[in-house]
Amino acid sequence: MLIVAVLVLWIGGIGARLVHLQVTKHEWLKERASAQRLNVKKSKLPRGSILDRNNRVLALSVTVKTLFADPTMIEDIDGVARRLSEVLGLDRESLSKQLGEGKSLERRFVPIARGLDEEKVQQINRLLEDQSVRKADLPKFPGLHWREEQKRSYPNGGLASHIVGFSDGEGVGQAGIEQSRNEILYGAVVKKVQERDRLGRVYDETVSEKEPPKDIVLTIQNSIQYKTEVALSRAAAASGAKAASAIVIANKTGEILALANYPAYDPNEVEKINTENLPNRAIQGIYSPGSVFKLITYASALESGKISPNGLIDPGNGTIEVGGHRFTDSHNVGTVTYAKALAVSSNVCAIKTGMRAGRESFFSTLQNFGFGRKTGIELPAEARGIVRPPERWNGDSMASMSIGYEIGVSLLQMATAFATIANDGVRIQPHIIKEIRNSDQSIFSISQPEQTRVVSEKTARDLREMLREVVLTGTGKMARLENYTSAGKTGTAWKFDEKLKRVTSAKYVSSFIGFAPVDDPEITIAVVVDEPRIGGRNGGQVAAPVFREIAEQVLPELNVPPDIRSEESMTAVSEDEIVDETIGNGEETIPETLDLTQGDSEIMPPKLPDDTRSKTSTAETDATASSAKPDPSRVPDGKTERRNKSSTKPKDIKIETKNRN
Amino acid sequence: MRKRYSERQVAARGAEVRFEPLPWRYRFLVIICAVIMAAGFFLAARQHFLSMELGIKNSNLRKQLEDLETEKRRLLLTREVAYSPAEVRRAAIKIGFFENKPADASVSEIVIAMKPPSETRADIVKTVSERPLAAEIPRGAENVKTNVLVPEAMAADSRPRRVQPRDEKRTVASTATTAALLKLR
Repeated sequence: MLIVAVLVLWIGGIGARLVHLQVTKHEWLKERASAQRLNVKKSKLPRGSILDRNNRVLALSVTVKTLFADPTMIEDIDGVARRLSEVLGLDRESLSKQLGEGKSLERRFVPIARGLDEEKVQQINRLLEDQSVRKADLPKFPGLHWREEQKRSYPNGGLASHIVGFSDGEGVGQAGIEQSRNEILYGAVVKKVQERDRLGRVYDETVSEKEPPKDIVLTIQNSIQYKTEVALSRAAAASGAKAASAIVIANKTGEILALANYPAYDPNEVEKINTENLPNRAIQGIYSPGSVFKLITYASALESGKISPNGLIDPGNGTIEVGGHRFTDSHNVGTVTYAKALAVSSNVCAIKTGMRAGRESFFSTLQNFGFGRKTGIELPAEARGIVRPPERWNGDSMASMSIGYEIGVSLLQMATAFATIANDGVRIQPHIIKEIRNSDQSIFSISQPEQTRVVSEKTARDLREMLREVVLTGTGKMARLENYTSAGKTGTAWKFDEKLKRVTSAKYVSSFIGFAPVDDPEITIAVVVDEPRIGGRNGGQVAAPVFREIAEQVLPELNVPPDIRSEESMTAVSEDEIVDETIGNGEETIPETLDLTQGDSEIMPPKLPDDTRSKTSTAETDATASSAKPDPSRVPDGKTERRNKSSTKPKDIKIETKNRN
Repeated sequence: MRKRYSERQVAARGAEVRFEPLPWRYRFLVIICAVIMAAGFFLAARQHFLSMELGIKNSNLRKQLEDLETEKRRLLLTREVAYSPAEVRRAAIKIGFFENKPADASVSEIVIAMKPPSETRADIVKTVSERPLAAEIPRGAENVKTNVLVPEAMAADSRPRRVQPRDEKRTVASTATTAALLKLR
C-alpha cells in the first residue's frame, strides 16, 4: 500500500507539473521557443542599376558589410577593444570608450568598421576567430556581428554625372535620374523570418513579397558621352571659360546620345562635391541665345511664305532703329540673299526678316518649336525658359527677339529646335530614358516620344541649306568637318553683369549649334561656352571647334558614311576669312531685360499692344515692316526712355539658373 | 472455440486445466504489427529529419545564391571600372600611347590668328586634321574608340602639318591617307 501510495503521489506530481508547464506556462514557453527558433532578418533589395544604351553600367549597388558590436553581450570590454584594435588597426582607447558607453546605455548596435568588401570580411573573420566561442553567425567572437548594407557605386566616376546623379546613404536619389526615377530604382526592405535549429542552422525561411526595383537603360552612349566631355572640358579650359555645356541628339529618334556640363563632379565622392557644380546647366541654365535664335526668325518668315532663301534683302547702311533703339551690324554687308544674311549673321537683316514675318507668326513659330515650355526630358528641375507673350512686348521687343535677346532659353530647347530642322521639320520630344527593365531583364516599358510637325519639309530643307551656308562662307567656318557636310549657326550674346546692372560687352555666351551630315542629318550637336576669357570669344571661334571635334569622332562611331563633296572638302581657314559675328544686340542704351533669375515663363497681365515703326536709312527691297506709332516717351534730347508699366528691372542673365524643383 | 480459464477459476474448478499458449499465427501477427509500427515511427522520424536537412540545404543554397549574386555585382563593378573610358585612357598612356589633341591645336592657332596685323603672321592658320592610323584597341574596350591615341613610333606622323592655301589642290598622298583612314573606320 505504501508503495502504491508513493507511486500514486509520484505520478500525480509529474502530472501536475505537466499541466503546469503545458497549460499555465503554455504561452510563455511558446514565446521562448519561438524566440529561440525564429530569427527575423530585414534586408534591402539592391537598388536598380542605371545602364547606357549598350548595357554598360553607369550606376550599380553592391553589398558591403559593416562590423558592429553588441556591447550588452560583451563582458570584457577592454579585452575586446584591444583585440579589435590589433586586427583592424583602430585606436584602442576610443574603441573601449565607445563600447563602454554603449554598454552603459544598453545599445545593441555600435558600428566598428563600415563598407567592407567580402575579401576584407573573410580576412577579419579569420583573424578574430575564437574556437571556444559557440556562435551561430560570424565572426566567432563574442558580441561582434556583421550587417549587410548597400553601397552605390558609379564605375565611370564623373562621366555623365549630371545625367545619372547620385543617391544618399539611405538609397534615396538626390540628383539626376537617381532622383527623378527614385521610385523605380528604390530597393524596398524585405523581411525574412528564419527558423533555426539548436545549432543555429536555418531550415525554413519565409520572405515577405516586395516588388523588386527595376533597371533603367538610358539613351546615352558611354563613349560618345566621354568624347563630348573631353572636348568640352578641353575647350573650356583653353578659353578660360566659367562653364560650358554640350548636347548630342540623334535627330530621327530624339534620343540624347550625350549631355555634358563643365565643370562636373564625381558622384562617388559626394562629400567633396562643390555645390556650384551640381546644377545641370544644359537643361537648367537659361541664357539669351543671341544669333542662334535667328533660326526661328528665318523659319517663321520662310514658313509664312514671306521670304525665300535666294530672295534679296537690303540692310541699308547696317543700321536700323526700332522703338527708339538702334541696332547695328559689325560691318555693312550690302544687299544680299537671305541665305547670305543668315550666313554672316546680320542683325539688321534678321530684324527686318522678323518684322516681315510678323509678330503673330513669329510668336506662334517660337511656341511651336517648344520655347517657353519644358521639353519633358526625364531629368529633374528642367527650366521652362522665359518667353513673354506679345501683349507684354515693348516697342523693340520684336527686333530684340529676332536676334535672340529678350528671351531666355535652355541649351536643350535650342538643340531640340535645330534637331527639328534636321528632322525635316518634325519635332521629336527629346528623351534620355530608352527603356525600363524588370529585374529578370524583361522589358517593362519603352520610351515613346511624341512627334509634332512644326514647319514644312520645304522650310526645313531651305533652312538646312541656309545653315550650310553659315559653315561654308559665314561665321561658322570652324565647324567644317573633314569627311562630312555640316550646317549650323553661331551665337555670341552679351551677358548681363550683376554688379554693373547692365548688359556688358565684357562677358559673352558663345555658342554653336549644328548638325551633320546636311542632306540626311544624323546628329545635332549644341555647344555653349559661358564667359570665354582667353583668345577669341565668338561662337565661331570658341564653340564651333568643339562641335567639329565631337562630330568627327561621333559620326564614324555611329557608322555614318562620309558624304563630303570634293569641292567642299575641308580646307584652311585663313585669318582674313574669319567672318566676324555681330556681337550683342548693337544697343548703346540699357535694354529692358527679363527677370531670368526666376527660370520660368512669366505669366503677367496682358499689356496694351504697342505698335512699332522701324526706321531704316534706305528703302527696303522687300515688303515694308509693320507700321508703328512714335514712342510717346521719347524725350527731346534724343535719348529714349522705356515706358514700362510692368517694370521688370534689369536682372541677371546668366547661364546658371536657380533650381526650381 | 475453447474457453480459457484464469488460474482462480482453474483452482475453483479443481480440475486440471491445460493452458494453451497463443497460436503462432497470432504471435506472428502481433510481431508484424509491432514491426510495422516501429517502422512507421522510424520512417516518420527519418522524414522529419530529412525535411530538416533539406530545409537547411535549401537555406544554404539560397545563401549561396545571394552570395554569388553579390559576388557577380562586385565583379561587374570591377569590370566596368576597368572598362571605363578614363581607365582605358590611363592604361593606354601607361603602355606608351599618347593622346592627340586636335582641339588644342585649333584653339591655339586661332589665338595666333587673332594677333594684330603688325605682328608677324603665318600664312596658314589652321591645319587640316589628319589622323594617323588608329592603334589597336585593347581587348574589352570595344566601346571606346581610341583612334585619338597613337603609338610613339607614329608620333612623327601625327604632328600638325601646314596646310595648303585654299587655291591649291590636295596632294595625292593626303588623299590616300584619308582613304586609308576611312577604310579603317
